Amino acid sequence: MTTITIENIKKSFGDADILKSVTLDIKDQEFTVLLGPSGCGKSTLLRIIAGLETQDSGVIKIGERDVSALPPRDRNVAMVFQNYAVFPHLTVFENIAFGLRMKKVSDDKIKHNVERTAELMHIEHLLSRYSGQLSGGQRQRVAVARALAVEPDVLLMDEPLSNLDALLRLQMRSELKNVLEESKTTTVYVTHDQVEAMSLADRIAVMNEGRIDQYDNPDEIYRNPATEYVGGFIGNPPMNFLTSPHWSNSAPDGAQKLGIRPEDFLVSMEDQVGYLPVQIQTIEKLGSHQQLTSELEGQGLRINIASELPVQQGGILFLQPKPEKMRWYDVRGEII
Amino acid sequence: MKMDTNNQRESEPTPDVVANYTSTKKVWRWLFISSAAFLIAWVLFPIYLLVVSALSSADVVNGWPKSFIPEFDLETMTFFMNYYGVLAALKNSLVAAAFTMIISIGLGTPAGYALARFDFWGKEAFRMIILLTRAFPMPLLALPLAVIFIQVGLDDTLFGLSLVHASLALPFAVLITASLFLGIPVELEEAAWVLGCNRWQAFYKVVMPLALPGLTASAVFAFVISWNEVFAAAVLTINNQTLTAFLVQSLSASPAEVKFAGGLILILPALLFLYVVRKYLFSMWGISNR
Repeated sequence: MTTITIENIKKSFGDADILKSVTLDIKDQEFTVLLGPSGCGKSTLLRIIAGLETQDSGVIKIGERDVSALPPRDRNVAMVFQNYAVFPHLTVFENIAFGLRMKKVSDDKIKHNVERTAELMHIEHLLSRYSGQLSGGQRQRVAVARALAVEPDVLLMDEPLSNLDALLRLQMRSELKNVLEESKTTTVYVTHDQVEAMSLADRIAVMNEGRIDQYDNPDEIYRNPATEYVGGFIGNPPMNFLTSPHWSNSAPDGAQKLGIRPEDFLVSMEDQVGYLPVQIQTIEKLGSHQQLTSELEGQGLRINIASELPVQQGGILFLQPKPEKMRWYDVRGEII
Repeated sequence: MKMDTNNQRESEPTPDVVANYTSTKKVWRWLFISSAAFLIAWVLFPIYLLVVSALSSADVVNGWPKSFIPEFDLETMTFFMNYYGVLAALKNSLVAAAFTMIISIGLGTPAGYALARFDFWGKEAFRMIILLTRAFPMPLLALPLAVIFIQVGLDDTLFGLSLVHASLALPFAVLITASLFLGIPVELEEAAWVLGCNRWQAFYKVVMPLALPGLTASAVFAFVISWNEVFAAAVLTINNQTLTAFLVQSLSASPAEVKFAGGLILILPALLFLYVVRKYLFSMWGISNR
């Protein structure tokens, strides 16, 4: 049982409050992604879990163990870095064996573990090479194998795919997903790429300026963004937010903004009862659908519509937001 | 029609211009090569003369006219090496240089590591002050130092002299090692910490092996600085003279050929060591050799 309990973690560098009281409960074997733009504190939180940074206040527990004051080496975690951090003076075998050697594991067990993880990451043919002789993708595999070989309680990954080119990233993403599912290790994964987060995570923690806005499974995050910020960050294009739409009579008390995803409209070419006219400004044909930028009563609105609809730039389109998809947000930007 | 021809003249360079251009390029190239050759000769010619004279017999060194074909005679060298005090001075020089190397690497490596890895109060001031030790000329420092050394009983010891030489070598050791450690990604250390190392183990197992060639270069540099230093050595040692001090004091009255032999013995290790570590010296001075 390896849960991670993060309670009221605060951290500031000089005047900048990087983390403002972060609390997070991660379940055993769960894959949690910390998602947010750069500077939101996600990497700092990961480094605090690893013990590479020290929190100003708050408690970190791995399982039942309070690790708040322990150095990294005593936390039984493993970490994969963005730039791989494969030791250049050691062979791939010795890189993967490094953590085991530090634990004074027997040679037989080292050999067994190294070969098993190398096989898992498909690098068994590279064991005698040095990092200088490897490609970026291969180095990444070595870094992951090195982390898994020590059989850590917790696996921490800091944007591990962001240095790979697009195609390789896709391939590694699905491979990583399989490997980590198999290893059943509780994982915390940092990224700024929402697609990566959505596709990998059991639960995503969306971070915004040192706080966690929402911590939930990907579907829930997409369908019911807890804050305006989450709705605006997740989804491409993001959720539309319309200020005080007078045409809607379903607004609850205190509602300030209506949030609605681009695909959640009923669309008509003719005026019908309950439909709103919007003016089309730009049309982007994306094959599977068309993405429109339009204007409704002076507010920008992005809509995805079926690709066969004969819309024209400057033309008028009639829309009705699907009632069950409408989300309302209060003055503070929180969902009602 | 007139306009057209004008346009054409402007858009295409005439053969004249092209010829001018290539000949300018040729001139620059020639200038570059000749100044490079001049600079090389500036350094190599004295060394050549030194080597030839040191390996010639006394008659040839002092005689005239000079022959173009250098002779090879070990008589002077043998005489010099058997000259009373030379071997002892040579040994002293080696010992002092070794001490200097140990002190400046022993102190310079941690200081360089601190400069590279930590932000601490007064870091920039520290960097400046380290260079300041090189701002005072040795003649200015040597006499007060001699007085202090006599007071604390360090006078005429190789250890005392090594301390002075280390103070000359330390700024380089600190700055070279700092840039070495800066070149080693901090993530490598962090990875080692997470994988079970404490700070010292991570340094020993990961940083050290990567920095070793550079550390060696910086050690050799410290060795050469001590080996070449004359003034402090001459002032601070009497019985335990290093080779440089010995040569300055004992050989001023010696015949020319013996001076040449002494000079050769002096420059050989320095040349050899600098040649071995040239790659690292280039990189520390910001010159790429690729």
